[in-house]
Amino acid sequence: MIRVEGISHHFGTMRVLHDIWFDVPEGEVFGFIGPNGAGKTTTLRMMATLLEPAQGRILVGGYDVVERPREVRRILGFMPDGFGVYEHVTVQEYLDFFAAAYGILPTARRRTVEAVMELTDLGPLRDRLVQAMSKGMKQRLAIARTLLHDPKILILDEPANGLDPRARIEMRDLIEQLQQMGKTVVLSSHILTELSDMVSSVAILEQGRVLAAGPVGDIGRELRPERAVKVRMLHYPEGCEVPFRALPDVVGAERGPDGDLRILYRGGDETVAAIVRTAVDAGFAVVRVEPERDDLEHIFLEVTRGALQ
Amino acid sequence: MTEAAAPTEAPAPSPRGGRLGAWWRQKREDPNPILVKELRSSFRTKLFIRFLYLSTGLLALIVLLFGGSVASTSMPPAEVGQLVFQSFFGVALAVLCVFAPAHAAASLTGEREKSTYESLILTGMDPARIVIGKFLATYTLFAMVLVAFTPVVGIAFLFGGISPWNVVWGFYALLLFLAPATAYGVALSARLSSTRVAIFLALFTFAPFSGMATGALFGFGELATRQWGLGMEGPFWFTEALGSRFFEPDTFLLVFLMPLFVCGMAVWLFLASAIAGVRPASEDRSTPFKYWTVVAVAGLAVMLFGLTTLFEPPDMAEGGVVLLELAGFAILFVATIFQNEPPLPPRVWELRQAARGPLTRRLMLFGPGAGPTTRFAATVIVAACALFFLATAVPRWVWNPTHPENAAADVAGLSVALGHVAVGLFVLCSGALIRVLLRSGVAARVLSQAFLIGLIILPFLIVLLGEADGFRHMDDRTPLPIRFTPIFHLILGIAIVDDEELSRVVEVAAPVFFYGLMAFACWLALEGRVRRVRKEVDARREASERAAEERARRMQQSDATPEDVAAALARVGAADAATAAEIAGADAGEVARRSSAPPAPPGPEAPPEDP
Repeated sequence: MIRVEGISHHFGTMRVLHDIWFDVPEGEVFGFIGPNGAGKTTTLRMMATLLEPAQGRILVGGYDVVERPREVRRILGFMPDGFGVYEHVTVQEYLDFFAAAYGILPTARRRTVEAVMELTDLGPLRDRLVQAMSKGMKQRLAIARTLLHDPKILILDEPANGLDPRARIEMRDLIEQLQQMGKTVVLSSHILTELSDMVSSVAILEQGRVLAAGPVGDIGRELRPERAVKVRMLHYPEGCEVPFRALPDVVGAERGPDGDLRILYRGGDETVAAIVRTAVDAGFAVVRVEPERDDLEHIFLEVTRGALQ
Repeated sequence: MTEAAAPTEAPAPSPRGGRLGAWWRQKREDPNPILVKELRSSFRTKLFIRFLYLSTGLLALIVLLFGGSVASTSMPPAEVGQLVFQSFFGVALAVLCVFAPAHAAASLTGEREKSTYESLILTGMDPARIVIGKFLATYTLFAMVLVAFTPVVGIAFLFGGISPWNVVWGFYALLLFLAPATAYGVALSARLSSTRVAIFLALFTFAPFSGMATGALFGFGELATRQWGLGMEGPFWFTEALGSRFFEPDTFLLVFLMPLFVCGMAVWLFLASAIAGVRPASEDRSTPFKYWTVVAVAGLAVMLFGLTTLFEPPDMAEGGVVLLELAGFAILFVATIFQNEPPLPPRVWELRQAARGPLTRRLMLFGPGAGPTTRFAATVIVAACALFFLATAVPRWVWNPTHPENAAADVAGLSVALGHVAVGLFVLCSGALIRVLLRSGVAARVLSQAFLIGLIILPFLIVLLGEADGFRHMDDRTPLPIRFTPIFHLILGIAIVDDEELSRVVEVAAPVFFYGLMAFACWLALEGRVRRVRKEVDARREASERAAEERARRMQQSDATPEDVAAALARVGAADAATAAEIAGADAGEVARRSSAPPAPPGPEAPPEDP
């Protein structure tokens, strides 16, 4: 749905993006992660036709963002980080204004605004002045505004920035709902826990370079071909690691800092099954067997070098 | 939400009222959303209501105090009424000149500062619609302020000396003047990013200009009062002229038509400038100015024709030449606004034109970009000079064919017109060349203006330093350096028509040849430079596309599974299956990781963005 081909950019003499390549598949929630100053917002603004890349090109829905900005804007909704709202209008007037700005005819406008308010749960607030709304509700209003022209792609720059936990959960639910409607959603954040439950693919950016991109599982497997499983027992007899080390796909077993037995292995779930079988055969009092997940935090820490720009 | 994606379409014109009626109905049912939103927001803020109360109260207080103090003198009541009338409109004009541009100057910068501008742009709304919405919103608000002022003018009627027509024409003038004031503010707002700077500039540039315009009105009032025997003095004398002699040709042309034309063209120019400011750099920004220029030149020619006919027969020859010389400012203005185009047309525009028919593609000859725009402006300059010459000469040929000064006036007019062409083309081409060489619009504009001013002033300084009384014989024996200033043809034109020395026409050959040749050289250099830039850009684009294709090809190859590669290698016997799988695994890993060190594209590095 979105293809980024070798884009580079500089502000004055400072180079902020270096030959960025990645694809966003259709219908996915794509996470764009990286530390502050990594170039996330610059890349997203280019995808949203607000900035032209100095080099390379971006295709959104098959349209080049530089050559066909109008077509791109028609299929794309963008919520920038630190967006503003018109304070002295009501929620309904605000959405009606943007619906008119999108060129929706007066006959269809009312129905469209109603549908979007229903989707974003803004219906009960329709007559409230925007200036009287909370930050979370304004964020919701901003997403509602991007949905008015029924875009196929949504780009949300730091959508949960500054929201309280409840508003974050509501935001996550809304994004899931949008994905179920078939929309491609690109999210950026530097808070990984915010994204980990939502995204299926990511691009990790640091100092203007993409360090890794693709499905989360693929990147995790590529980064760490050896996976780990933690085995908790009631007691840990002397030499309890030995039977596991003898298994063909196990590359190591040792007690971790939390006391659990940490077994490194290659291969898939059949190796985990063999580990469990070995523990039971050896008569160990197993309480829990927990495979370590390829979560975003681990991936991010391993991929990035940690230096901020 | 499916209906939301419906494109904007004008409703089909109904038989009732035709296209105009359909247009009006569409505007009434679906007005400019920016206008609606701005008015709604303004009426919900206390600031506007307070401003309305305060300004009306202050105006009433000033008029009452002034009227009271004048009435206590021995002045006849009719004159007191006229003074009160003048003071009312004077204060109302001052309020408009200060607050309307300042309010408009905050309109688009406010959107930028509150971070709502990008959301607005991304809706795909036409920049012209945004700008016109902002303009109409400020205009409507201040028109309402004027309506609120109306009862105060009733004080003048207590004393007499004015008629309702004076009031009607006074309000017409304020509403007319409000339009360029507002458009100027919007233009500043579109070009600047800070509201404070925009308001500051609006206040400190438009208010002094308005003061000067009011002073000029005083001056014209003196003349008009004497010429037309008007009873009212002061800057709003024209309300009486329009009320009492509207259908006289001189009043209609000078007091009604010309201000209407000037204000209308000013509004158009400011709004075109604002639209260009809102439009992204990748789109065509110069075409709105081109339409404006064509209409402005044609309108100015009509005005020159009309003004020449107003001269008495003995003054028609000299008056026509003076008007033609003054029209030189318009030529310079045209040259200046079109000398700042970037070397190449915007890519988006080129692609759109390429998709159109062959006839439309021919318009690319005059389209955006330094080369085509220079061609367009050069054509306009030549045509305008010819038109202006005819506009000032034809009245003389038709209504005063036997006047003895006609031959001298024709020769002088021809010299002035030729001079205008040569200097105009030189200013245009040299400025455009500096722009494509420097790549920075602001620096190029400053440099070309400084260059022009230097060319005008330097010869005079040389003469002054070389010969103390060098200016004494300016009319009959012009010093050589001054013959090469860009204003020599103006001096010569007046000299020819004053002294009736037709033979001096040859003197115009030197500056015309000099500036003409320089313009031609600059134009050749400009076209060469544009061609080089085009080649560089095309080469870079091709290199970039090649790199993208190469990268895409490699990515596609890497998508093969280890089994595919192993099978392929085993088929050709290049390696055994185990080795092949290892190789394939490494490729797949490369895909997943897509590290940040791909091969550098073969093309040269992109140059810094052209601001």
